[in-house]
Amino acid sequence: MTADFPERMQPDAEAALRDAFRDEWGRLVAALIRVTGDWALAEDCVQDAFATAAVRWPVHRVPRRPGAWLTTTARNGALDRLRRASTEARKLQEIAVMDELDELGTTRDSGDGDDGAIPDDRLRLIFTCCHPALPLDARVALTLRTLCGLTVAEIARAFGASEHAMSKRLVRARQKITNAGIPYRVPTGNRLPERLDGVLAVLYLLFTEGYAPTSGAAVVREPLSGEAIRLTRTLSTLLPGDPEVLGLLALELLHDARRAARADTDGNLIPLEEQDRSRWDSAQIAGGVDVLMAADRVGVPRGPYLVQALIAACHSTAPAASDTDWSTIAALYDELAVLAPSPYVELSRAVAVGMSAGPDAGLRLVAALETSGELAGNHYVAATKADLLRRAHLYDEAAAAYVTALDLVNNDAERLFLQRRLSELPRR
Amino acid sequence: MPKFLLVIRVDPHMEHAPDDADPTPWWEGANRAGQWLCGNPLQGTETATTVRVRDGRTLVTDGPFAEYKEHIGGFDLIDAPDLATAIERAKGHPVTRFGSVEVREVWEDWPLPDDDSGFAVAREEAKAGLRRYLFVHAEPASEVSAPPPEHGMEGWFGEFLPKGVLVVGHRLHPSSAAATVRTRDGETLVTHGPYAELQEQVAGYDLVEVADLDEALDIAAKHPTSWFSAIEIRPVGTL
Repeated sequence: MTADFPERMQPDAEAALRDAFRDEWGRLVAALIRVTGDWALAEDCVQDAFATAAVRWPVHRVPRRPGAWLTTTARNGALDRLRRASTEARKLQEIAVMDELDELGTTRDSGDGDDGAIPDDRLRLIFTCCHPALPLDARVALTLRTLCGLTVAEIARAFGASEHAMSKRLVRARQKITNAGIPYRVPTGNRLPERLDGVLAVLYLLFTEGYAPTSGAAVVREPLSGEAIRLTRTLSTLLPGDPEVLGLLALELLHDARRAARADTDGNLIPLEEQDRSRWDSAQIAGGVDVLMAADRVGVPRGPYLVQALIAACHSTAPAASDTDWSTIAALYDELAVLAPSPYVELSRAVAVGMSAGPDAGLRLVAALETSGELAGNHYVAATKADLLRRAHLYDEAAAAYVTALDLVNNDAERLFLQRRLSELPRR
Repeated sequence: MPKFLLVIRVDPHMEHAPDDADPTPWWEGANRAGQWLCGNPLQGTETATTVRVRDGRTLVTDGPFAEYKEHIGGFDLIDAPDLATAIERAKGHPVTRFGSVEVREVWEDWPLPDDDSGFAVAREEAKAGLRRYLFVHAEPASEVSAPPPEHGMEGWFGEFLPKGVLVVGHRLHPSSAAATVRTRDGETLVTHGPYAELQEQVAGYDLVEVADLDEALDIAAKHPTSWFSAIEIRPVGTL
């Protein structure tokens, strides 16, 4: 999705380059980091290899095995840089690294150029990028840069940061990895489940930041959610059969399948119950449900992502909003409230209970949440309360709650939605 | 003889000439006097990681356990007959001119290799392929919950002393018994009491030698301090 491709490229070269970028970037960076131990060098060399491909492929035709071609080109670039940078004292080390680099090239050249060759490098890279000793914003940025190949400018744009600030964040993160001795390794033993939770949290954050930006004008930032889905899918092939990885993948697919129906042409957010369900991507919903079934077969006991995916599936498979199985959803939220207690889960539980057992029951849960003060200042509490009051036909109180929510909301699309809801309340 | 930990603090924003900051002459003097036992500069706080264990879950965060104007930039352990002698030694440290040196007496109740051979190891470089980290223990907040019994100090020492992970370490006398030395405009100021009136004082330290940060995190998470307070992990640097 990135790299500066020349304008008038042969269509087949352009497609090959985009495919290669999507399939090979993370793998190449991961392998080069392993053999050189130098993150910046690895990224630069892979970037250069794609730039060379963009120039050469349209003219000299696309190589038979693009992945092998890119590996060789990136490796040669790394060798050149290492040779130039080497001082006499570092000669031995350089040769050791070169041997490994050569091996990297030959392994891939002798293979069939697809997944089998060095399966673990991307997994190492994912775990290192998402290491808990790095600040959360740096984990997200590093993941997008090294695994997805987004440019610094693209990442900065996606998070509303300046390019300078984003670049600094990445430099600091790489320096901490090197200087603090964060290992380039997949954690083992007891460490793995806790660290995998951290990886999934970063991927889910990436997805939600793409799906429901916390600030700004856009309802959906497609590139981020797309990258998150791709990374989660990759993780599910690298750690096959992990129910929570599959649960997260299903969750992302099911949410993303509703993307086209989430906003009108003016960018106004459309609530789930009012969405045109014919615009949902039914093939992707089916795919998400398949992943979910596979996850639920292994997932005993269920983890929080799997439960959330089951909730999403209840919504996605209902032919119409009125067919929604709210009592199952409310029961799943009860389960989630135990697995991953949070005020947001309580809020969603209030909505589900309000739908299955009536608005009064939902309002009681919202009142408990307000008493706890845990989400004080969050517009979702007021918006949920307003909605339940509207369903209870308490329109004056609903109007007051919508006004409170409007005072607190930051996202433009959600503001418009709340304004519309307020204006649609029956007047007496 | 009592031992004192000198906590070297530097203000990263304070300008100074690099030559002025070289502690080598100070270190040579302390060594000649037979006072210097071991010590290291640390890498900057941007490489710090803090570990807490709560409800059985290890919480890892980027950065030191508390943000001060002056960061912990290094440590030295010295032998001195009393606090006054330790303060005299601290006065000559170049960092007093642009930072501060906190003088803290240590308890010698931990089963550490702190005969001369133990300190000799501490003075050497890390073995090939290994890294050294300083664990900085935060003083627990008042509402401490006792760590589970299997996480007592004895178990920790029992597991890591034989493995050679622990190079040197001590619990410190309370910060109220500390002295802080600064030199400003040629005048040396000695303040009695802690470095600053803050909740998060340094309560102890360990120098450990392991392969990487993940190993250091595991070892810190097993230390009782992380169960009721926090341990900051700082990679050791070079001058």
